[in-house]
Amino acid sequence: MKRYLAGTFIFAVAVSVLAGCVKTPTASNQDERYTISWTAWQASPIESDARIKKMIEDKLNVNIDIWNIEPTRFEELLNLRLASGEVPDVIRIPQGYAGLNNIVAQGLAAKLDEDMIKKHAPNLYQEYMECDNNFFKKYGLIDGDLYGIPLLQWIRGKYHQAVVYRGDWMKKLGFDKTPETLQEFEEVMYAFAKGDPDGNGKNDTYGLSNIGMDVVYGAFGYLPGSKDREIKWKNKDGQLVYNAIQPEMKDALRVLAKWYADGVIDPEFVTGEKVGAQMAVSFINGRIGFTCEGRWFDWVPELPGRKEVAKLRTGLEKIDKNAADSLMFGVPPVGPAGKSGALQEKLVTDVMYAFSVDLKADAKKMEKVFSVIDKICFESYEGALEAWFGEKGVDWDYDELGIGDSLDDKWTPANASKLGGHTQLVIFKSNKWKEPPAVMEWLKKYKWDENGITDDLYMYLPSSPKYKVDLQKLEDDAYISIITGKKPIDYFDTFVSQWRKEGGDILTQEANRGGNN
Amino acid sequence: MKRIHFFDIFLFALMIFICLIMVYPFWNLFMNSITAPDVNMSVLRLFPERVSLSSYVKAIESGDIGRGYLNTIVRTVLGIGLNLILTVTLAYPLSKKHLPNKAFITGFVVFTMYFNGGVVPNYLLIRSLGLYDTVWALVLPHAVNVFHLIIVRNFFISIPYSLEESAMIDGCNEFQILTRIVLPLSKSIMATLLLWAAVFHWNAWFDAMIYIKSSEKQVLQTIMRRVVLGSMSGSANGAFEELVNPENIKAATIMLTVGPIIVVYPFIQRYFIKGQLAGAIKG
Repeated sequence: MKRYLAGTFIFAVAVSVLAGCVKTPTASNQDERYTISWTAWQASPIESDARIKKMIEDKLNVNIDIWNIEPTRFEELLNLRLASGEVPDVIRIPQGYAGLNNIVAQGLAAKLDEDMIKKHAPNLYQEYMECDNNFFKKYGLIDGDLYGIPLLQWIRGKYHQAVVYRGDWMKKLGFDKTPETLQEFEEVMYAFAKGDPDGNGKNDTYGLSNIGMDVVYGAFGYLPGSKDREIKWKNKDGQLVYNAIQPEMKDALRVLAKWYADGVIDPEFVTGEKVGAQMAVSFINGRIGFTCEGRWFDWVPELPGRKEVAKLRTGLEKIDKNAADSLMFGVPPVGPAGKSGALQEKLVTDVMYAFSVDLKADAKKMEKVFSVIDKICFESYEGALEAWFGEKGVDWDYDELGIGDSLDDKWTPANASKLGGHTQLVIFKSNKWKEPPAVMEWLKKYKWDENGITDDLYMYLPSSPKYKVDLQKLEDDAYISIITGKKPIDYFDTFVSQWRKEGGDILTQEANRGGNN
Repeated sequence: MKRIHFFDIFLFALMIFICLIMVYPFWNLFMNSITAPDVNMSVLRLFPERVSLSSYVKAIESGDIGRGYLNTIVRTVLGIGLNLILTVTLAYPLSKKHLPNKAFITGFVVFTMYFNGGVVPNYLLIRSLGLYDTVWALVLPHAVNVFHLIIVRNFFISIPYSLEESAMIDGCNEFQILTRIVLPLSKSIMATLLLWAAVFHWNAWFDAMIYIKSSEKQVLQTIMRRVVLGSMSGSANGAFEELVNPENIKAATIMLTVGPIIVVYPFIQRYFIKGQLAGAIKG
């Protein structure tokens, strides 16, 4: 019996090893018309006879092979195919530098040459350089070499997160304008918590929850992140410093701890304002009267020319139409030292594109790849609209404000994606895309573009995977226990020294190395 | 006339109550699925405020439900067929004492229950066998489930050998013994096997996500998963979104996918319980 088992085992192992070793043949096309394999975010998989894709392919004399990869499991599925030796020419990397580093470490990404980009993707180059005239020497680098091209934030990350109040509550409590200083802000928050703004006779409302605290920290000059708020570093006199350990934060925590003790902060702030993927739930359900959750396009009212739905405002509208119509947008309140700020996204998103190392051997194809991306996404608004919607005059046209829109009332991203439209080909979004003038005026009027605080780190910290999780936990625990009064304010100093000892100093060193500032 | 005792009434009430608890989630799901999308869903209610089939329309429009259904049915039928044939033809010889090298073969089969190559080697294997992007990639790897195989084998062992002997005396060959004597006696275990395979293939989505490239060949569950997730998370830019209520869509989607199983299950269930027990106690 034993003999049998041993024999079985060896045989089975041999069979499975052999089965895994068969080499996959790789097809290579040596036609003049290049075939570029491509990965993108997809609202739905592309079909084999995709009309829009075909149109663009013929226009640019190229074949584009878009891989169907489910976006919700993108990393896993792409890694599977990378592991089996299939590397797309255009590699989408949704998880930022960690992902890029991973691909570069496996030797799958080609080193990019700034001059080549400038020559073959001139519009892309120009647009990126307009955002930062050192762009390709700052972003997308691993060990000082350019490997990735990050996507830019929509409308270039120029606008901070919402600073939004329940207008109906404000009115009821006798405030006719949004607070401008921390002092005034405190009054409003206390009134929200104590003045029964929803008029149900119960003491069940609060001023703010975790995300609303952004502007309180901002009033002291820094914005500590949290596990779901990616903001960590600030450039202070040419040195990057970690926000959460700055002495000013101790003053901010003193304020917050007092508010918490007075019942102004929602005790559920520990779990946050989100429920699953749904944002601003506490605000929408009328538990808190102020939040910094969401971006301008989540709250923007119906303005002429704007077609997309403002997700959070309509969410509130479903529950309380009156509240949705009365929303008030303010500016981040100014603190005792004259500082203020709300969270603003970085210039770039966490999504990057890298390019297959195979392209390194075929310079002509590499050039073609860049020129195709440039022509589809950056060359002109009309070109991008064609790749997004399809044929002009048939699928889409300009409206009276000069904004391209689908002619089909039932247009959905999913249906367009099947034909190769939507984000299948338009993998980068150029700033040639327009927002209606009314929207731009509204943004200006409520000063969405002022007093944003962004993360000043744009590099990958090699030790970050090693320390990040533990340090974040340490930080979250310290902040939560100080605010809730479980630990005294002076515990902040203990936290700072612990943070520095347990890897924080190493991260700070790395952040300040390699010309990051 | 039998007297109805108070205790009986109590028992009936209790049973009805328990049944309602079981039914309520389905009821709630069904009601959610036919509620108009602009109704606040954060409250539990027995009947919808406003009835609307828009969630169904949306769920059907946004995915290729018809094609998905067809692909799933093809996959399920093929999967069941292969599974039944291969399981029986492997379990039957393994149930015989006089099979040469029986321990080795059994060991070899059982080995695969505990050890397998993992996702990447499987993927490489499927690719190099040329099964990638075909329905065979979905049915062949699951053609024999070792655990089910052992249960069927144990069931076959439990059939008295004298039945086969008598068939042999009447002139049956080995194959006829299987088809005329053993299989007719094994209906319950066959029904169990069928149900297991059907439910497995009906619900499976991850393998389809890995092995199926063309959207035309995608199975129902993968499409449905996309509809549900797509209605919850935004698009790439956040700015291009549609107004839907994810709760309604989720509910409508679940109703659409779970339907066939709910319809079929009650009819096979009695065999199922019998078969499961039959296989189990003689293990």
